[in-house]
Amino acid sequence: MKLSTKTWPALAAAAMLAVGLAACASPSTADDSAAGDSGAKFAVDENTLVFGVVPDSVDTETNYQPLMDYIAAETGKTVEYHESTDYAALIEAAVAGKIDVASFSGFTYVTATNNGAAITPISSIITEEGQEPGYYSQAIVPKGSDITDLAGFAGKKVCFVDPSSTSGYLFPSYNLLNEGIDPKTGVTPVFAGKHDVSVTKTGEGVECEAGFAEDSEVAKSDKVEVIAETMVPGAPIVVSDTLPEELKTQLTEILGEVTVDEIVESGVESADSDAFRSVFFATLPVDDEYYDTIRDICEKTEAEQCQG
Amino acid sequence: MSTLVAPSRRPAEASDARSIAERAPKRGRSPERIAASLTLVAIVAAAIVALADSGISIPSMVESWGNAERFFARVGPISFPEPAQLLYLTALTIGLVLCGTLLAAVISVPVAYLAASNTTPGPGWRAFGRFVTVLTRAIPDVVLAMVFVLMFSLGSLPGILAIGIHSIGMISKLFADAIEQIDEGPRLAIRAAGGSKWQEFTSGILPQVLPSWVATVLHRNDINLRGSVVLGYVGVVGLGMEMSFAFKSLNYSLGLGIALVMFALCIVMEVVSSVVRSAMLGVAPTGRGLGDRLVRRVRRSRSGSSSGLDTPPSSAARPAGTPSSAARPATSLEAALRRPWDALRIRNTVWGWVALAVVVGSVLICNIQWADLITFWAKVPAIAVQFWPPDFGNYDAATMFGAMGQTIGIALAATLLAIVVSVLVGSLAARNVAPNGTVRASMRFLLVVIRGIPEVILAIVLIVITGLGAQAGTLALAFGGIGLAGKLIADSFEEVKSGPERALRATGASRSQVYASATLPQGMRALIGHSFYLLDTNIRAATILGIVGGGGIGYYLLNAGQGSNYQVVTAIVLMILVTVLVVEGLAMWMRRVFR
Amino acid sequence: MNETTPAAPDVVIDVEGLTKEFGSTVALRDAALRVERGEIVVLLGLSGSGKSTLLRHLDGLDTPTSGSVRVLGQEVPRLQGRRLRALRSRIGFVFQQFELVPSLTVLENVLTGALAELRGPRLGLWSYPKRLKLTALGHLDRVGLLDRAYQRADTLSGGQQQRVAIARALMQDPEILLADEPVASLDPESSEQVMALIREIAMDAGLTVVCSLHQVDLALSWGDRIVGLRHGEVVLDTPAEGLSKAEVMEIYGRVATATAELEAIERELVDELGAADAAAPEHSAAPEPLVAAGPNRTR
Repeated sequence: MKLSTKTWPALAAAAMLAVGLAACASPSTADDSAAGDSGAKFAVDENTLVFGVVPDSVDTETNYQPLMDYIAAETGKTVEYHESTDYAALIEAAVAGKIDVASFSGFTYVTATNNGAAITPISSIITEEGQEPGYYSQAIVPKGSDITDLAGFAGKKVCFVDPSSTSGYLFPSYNLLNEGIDPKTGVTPVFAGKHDVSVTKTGEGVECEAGFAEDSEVAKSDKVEVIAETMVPGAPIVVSDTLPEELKTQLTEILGEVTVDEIVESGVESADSDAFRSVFFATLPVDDEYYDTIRDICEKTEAEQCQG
Repeated sequence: MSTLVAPSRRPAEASDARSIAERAPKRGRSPERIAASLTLVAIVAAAIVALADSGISIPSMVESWGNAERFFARVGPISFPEPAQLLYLTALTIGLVLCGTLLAAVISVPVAYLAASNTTPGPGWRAFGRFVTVLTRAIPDVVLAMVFVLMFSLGSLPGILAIGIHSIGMISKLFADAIEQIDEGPRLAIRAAGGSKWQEFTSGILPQVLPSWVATVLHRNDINLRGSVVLGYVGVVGLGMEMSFAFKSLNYSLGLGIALVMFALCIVMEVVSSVVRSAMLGVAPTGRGLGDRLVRRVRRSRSGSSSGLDTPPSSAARPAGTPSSAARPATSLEAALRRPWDALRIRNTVWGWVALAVVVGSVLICNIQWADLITFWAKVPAIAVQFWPPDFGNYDAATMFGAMGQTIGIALAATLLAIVVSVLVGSLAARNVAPNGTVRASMRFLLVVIRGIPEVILAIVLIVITGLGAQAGTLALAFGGIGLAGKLIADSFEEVKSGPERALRATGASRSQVYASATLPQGMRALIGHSFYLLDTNIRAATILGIVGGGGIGYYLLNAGQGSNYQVVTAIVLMILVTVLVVEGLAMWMRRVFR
Repeated sequence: MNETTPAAPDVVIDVEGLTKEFGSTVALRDAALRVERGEIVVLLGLSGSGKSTLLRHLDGLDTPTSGSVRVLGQEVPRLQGRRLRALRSRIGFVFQQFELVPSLTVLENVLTGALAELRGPRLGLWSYPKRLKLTALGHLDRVGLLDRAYQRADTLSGGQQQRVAIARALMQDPEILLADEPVASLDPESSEQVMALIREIAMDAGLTVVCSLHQVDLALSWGDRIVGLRHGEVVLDTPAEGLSKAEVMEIYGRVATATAELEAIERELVDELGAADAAAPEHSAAPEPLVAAGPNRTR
C-alpha cells in the first residue's frame, strides 16, 4: 500500500520503543514472565483484593466505596478500588490477571472471556426492589413520527451511540438484522457518541429520524417515543478464577445475594446513605449462561470486539 | 558612564587578601527571592512525597513484563482502513484541525493585545485578557466538545470549535509574550509621526511579532493534530474517532494502524511547518525539528549547485534596482512602482496562494453546517441551564476535594519524574549540548516517538504491567510529559546565547563545565517555566488518568460528562480552573523572581 | 603555569599558510603571523577581513582548512580534549559582546575563568573553593568592580561588563591574551578605559596580547605592531611607531577622512561571513594598489 513508505519509520520507532521499554524495565531479565501458573494468584498480594469498575449504566454515578468497605470487613483484606472510564483498559487488566474482583458491562464480560480472561460472574446489581438485573435498549422516534415499528427504520437516518455501546449499537444492530435491515447499509447510521445526544438528536428529528438509546436517558426526554425495547443483561460482578477456592466461595457467598440493608446490618455504616442507596439495592446471582444472549448477538452481528 | 575606574589606580597586586574580603560587598538576598526559593523547595518536596506515595515498583513491573509481551502478541499485524476511506479521514482530520487552529489564532489576536503589558488599554483589560487565556486552557477540549455536540449538528463544527476555543489559551499567551518582547522603537516612531493606535499595531507591532506568531500557530496546529485523537472519544469526526472506535472494539491492529498514520501526518506537518516558516520569515531555519533539518539540507544543496554565493535574495535584487532609480529622472519612478517579479516575490506569492487554497480546501472538506451558527443561539439557554448551578451530584465535597488532591499529587509526581528525565534527554537533544550529531538526532527522534504513541496503548501497556491505579497513572503522565518537556527544554537550551558558552570553552572548561556554568544558568528561567507548564498540563490531563483507573478528578469529570451530569461537570471544571490559576500565579511569580 | 615553550623560546604564536573556508566563502587565505612573547599586536581590518577567524584559530575554537597554527609550542589543530583545554587555559580570550552569563553574579562569572583548573561541573558560588573566590575578588578589585561582586552580570553597563570579562580572563593566569574587537560595542569613554586597562595589565604581567580592532586611530595609538587584514589576507605587518593614519588608509584604498565611511560600511556588513561576499562589489569598485603594497604577500 502507498502508505508503507511513510509509515515504516514509525513502525521502526514503535519497535524501538518496545525494545527500549523492555530494556529499561528488565535490568535482570525476567524469564519467569509466565509466573504464577501454578496455584492461586492475586493481582497484588494475598492481603489485597483489587476491585476494578467501569461504570456501565450511563446514569450511574458510581460510588461503590461502601461495597468495598463491606468486602474488606467480610474478608479481612485490604480492598483497592479502581474506577476506569475505558472498557478496553479493564478488559486488558482482567486478561493480564491484574484484577481480583470487577464490575463491568455484560458485553465487556463476554469480550474479556473471549480474550482469555479467567473470570467468573457471581451476581449483578439492582438499584430498586423487585427489579430484574439489566436495563433496556430502546428504539425511539420523534413524537408524532409516522415510524411505528423497527421495520420502519429501513432507509432512515438512525442515531446510534457508538460502535462499542451495548445498548446503543449491538442490541439495536441485532434487532435490525432480525427485521432484515443491515445496520450498516440498510439505514444511514449516525454515531452520536453518547446516549443523551442520541436522544436529543432523535428528538429534533433533523439529523436522525429514529434512534436507539438506554432507557434511563430516554425517560428524561419528552420529545421522543419508544416503539420497541430489548432487555440488556445486567453488569456482572466477577471474580478472578486464580483466587484460592475458599476465597472465591466466600466472595460468592457475601456478594451473591445481598441487600443494602444486610450490608448496613453487617456493620458498614457508610452504606446507609442516599448516595449509595441510589446506586445499589441488592445483588442477584447470575451465571455464565445468563450472557448467552450476548454471545448470540455477537454471532449474528459479527461485531469485531466479540472475536477473541 | 559616570563612575570611573581608574585604570590608573594600581593596587599592589599582592595587597593582602583580607582587606579585599573586607572591602567586598556583603551578599544580599532579597526576602522575596528567599520566599520563592522556599516555595520551590516545598513544591519539590511535595512532589517527592507524592512520588514515593504512588507506589511505583520496578521489581513488580519486571515480573509482569510478560503480560505486555502477551498483549503485543495478541495485537497481531498492524492493519489500515481502506485507502479511499483513509484518504478521506486524513483530509477531514487535517481540515478540521487547520480550521480550529486558525479560528483560535484569529480570536487570540485581540485577547493577546489586551493581555500584553505594553499594549493593554488598562489593568482591568489586562486581567480580563489573562483570564480568558487561563480559562480557555483550563476547560478540557473534551468538555468543550461535549457541549458543542449538543448545540450543533454532529460532524465537524463541534470539533472545530472545541479545538479552536481550547487552543486560544496557549496561542494568546504566546502571542502576548511576543508582543511584550518587541522593540518599542518602531512603535514610538509611528506615534511620533502622529499615527493612531490602530496604525501603531499594524505598522509597528505586527511586522515584528509576525514571525513568532506564525511559529506559534504552526506549533499549535501540530499539537491539535495529535489532540484530535482525544476528541474522537466524544464523537467528533476524523481519524481520532476512527481510532477510538478501533480501540474500544479491541481492534488494536487497526487502532495502531491509524495511530501510525497520525504519527506520519505529524511528521509531515512538522516538515510543512518548517518550510512555511522559512518561506514566510525569509530566514534559514534555526534547526530544531526534523523539518528544519530537511529544509536546511535542501537549501544547502540548492545553494551549492547555484552560483555558489550564499547571497540573501534581498541584496541580489538590489543592484538591479538601486542604480537606475538613483540615476534616472522622475518618469521612471512610475516604472519603479511596479515591484519586479524576482524569485523571492514569485515564491512568496505562490506560497500565499497555496496557503489560501489549503485553508479553503479545509473549510470545504469539513462541510460546515453554517446555518448552525445562526440557529444554535436558540439552544444556548436550555443547555446553559443544564450546566448551572455547579453541583457535586451524588458525590460529597470531601470525595471531590480528595480527588482533586489526588490529581495534584499524581501531577506533581509525574512532573518531577518527567522533568528529571527531560532535562537529561532534552539537554542531549540540544545542538549546543549534545556531544555529537548522532546523539542529538536519536534523542530528537526518541522525543517524536514518545509524542506519537497513542494514550490508550500507553495506558493499556502500563496497566498490564503495573495494574490499575495511581502507579500506572503517574508513569503514563510522566512518559507523555517527557515528549512535551523534552522538546521544550531542548529548544530553550538551543536558544540560549552561544557567546558565554564559547567564552567558557575558550578558558579551557570541559563540556560538562560549560553546560553547568553557561547553558544551564541561561536556560534556568525557561526550565522553571516549562516545569510549571507541565504541572499545569498534568493537572488538566483527565483522559489518561481516567483510563488507567488512576483516580483523581479526571475520572469524575469524564464520568459526569459521559453520564450527562453537566452540573457536576461545571463544578469540576471550576475546581480545575482554580487550581490552574494558582499554578499559573506561582509560575508567573517564579519567573519574575528567578529572572 | 609553566613558562617553557620548547621549540622556539621567544615565538609564542606562529601561524603559517593558514586558510579557512566556510562552504564557498574564504575567510582566511594563506595567512601568516609570528608573535613573540610580550608583544602587543593589533589585527586591523574591516568586518569580514578575517580578524576574528584568525583569533579563533589561535585558541582552537576553529579548525583550519589548511595551514599550521602553533601556539605556545603546540600545533593547535592537532590538539583535542584534555590537551586542547589545557592549552586554552593558558590563553585568555576577550570577546566583543563580553559573553558573560547574564543571570549569574559578577563574581561567579569571574570564577568561571578558573573552571579549567577545577574538576567537574560547577553551579553556584558555594561550589567554588574559598581560595579562588578571594583571587576572583582580587581581580575584580584590579578592574575596579569589587563593589559589584554580587550583582547580576546583566545589570552592569557595557564597559563594566567588559571589565568583568577581563577579570574572568585574568582568573586563568594566562600567558597570552586574545581580544576580539573588545571595544566595538562600547562608547568612546568606556572604550578608552577598557583599552587602557588591557594594556596596563599586559605590561604588568608581561602578557602577550593579540587584539583585533577596526578603528585606525585607536590601533595606532595603542598597539606596538599593526597587522592589517583584508579579505582574509594579511596585507600589512609593521611596527605601529611612525606609521601614520594616512599611510594605513592608503593601504585600505581610502582617504583619511573616510573613517566615518568605514564605520558605516562596518555597520552594514554585520554578518562576518556573509560580509566577505557582500563586500565584493565594494572590492571591485576600489582601486587595487593595496595588494601590491602588502609587505610580503603578493599574489
